[in-house]
Amino acid sequence: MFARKPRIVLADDEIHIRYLIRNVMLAEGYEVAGEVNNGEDAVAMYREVRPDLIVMDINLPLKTGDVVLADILGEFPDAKVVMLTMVADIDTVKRCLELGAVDYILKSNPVEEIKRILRGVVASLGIEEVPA
Amino acid sequence: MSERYDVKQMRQEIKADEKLYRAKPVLLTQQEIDALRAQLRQAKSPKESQT
Repeated sequence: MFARKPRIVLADDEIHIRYLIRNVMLAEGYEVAGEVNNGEDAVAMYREVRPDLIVMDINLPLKTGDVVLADILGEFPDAKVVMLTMVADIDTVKRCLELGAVDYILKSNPVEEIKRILRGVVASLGIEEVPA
Repeated sequence: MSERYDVKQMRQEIKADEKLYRAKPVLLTQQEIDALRAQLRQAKSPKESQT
């Protein structure tokens, strides 16, 4: 249990992925502070909400996830961005990690694996955990 | 919830994802990505400690 709920924004154009990840986050006790379905809205939502973390697809309409990643980190160097995607060629993965993504999650992972990785990322955010 | 999530559209998306997954297989596994991330972090940290 956290002293406060980690606030997370979700950026994915696929409804079923947002549905899945939203439910994973709620089950883990995180707050879904916003959902967007394109890259331009992802940047705008980040500015407005200033979440603890943004979980983002690569193949976003209007502005791709890697461009949004660079935009967000350019404006907010301490932003924590996790890429969640089907695209896992080495160049894309390397580019996103070098740009500053804190993690890179494959959508093809089992839900338990996605949960495990998100828990690790959230634990690194420094939000104080309190005994339940 | 049903207003936000259109089940018919979700099914179509899942089908499209399966098609994409078959046509363009994932090239790195999650373990390989984790290893790459650790490697990049390690390469970056000595630079940071110099500054």
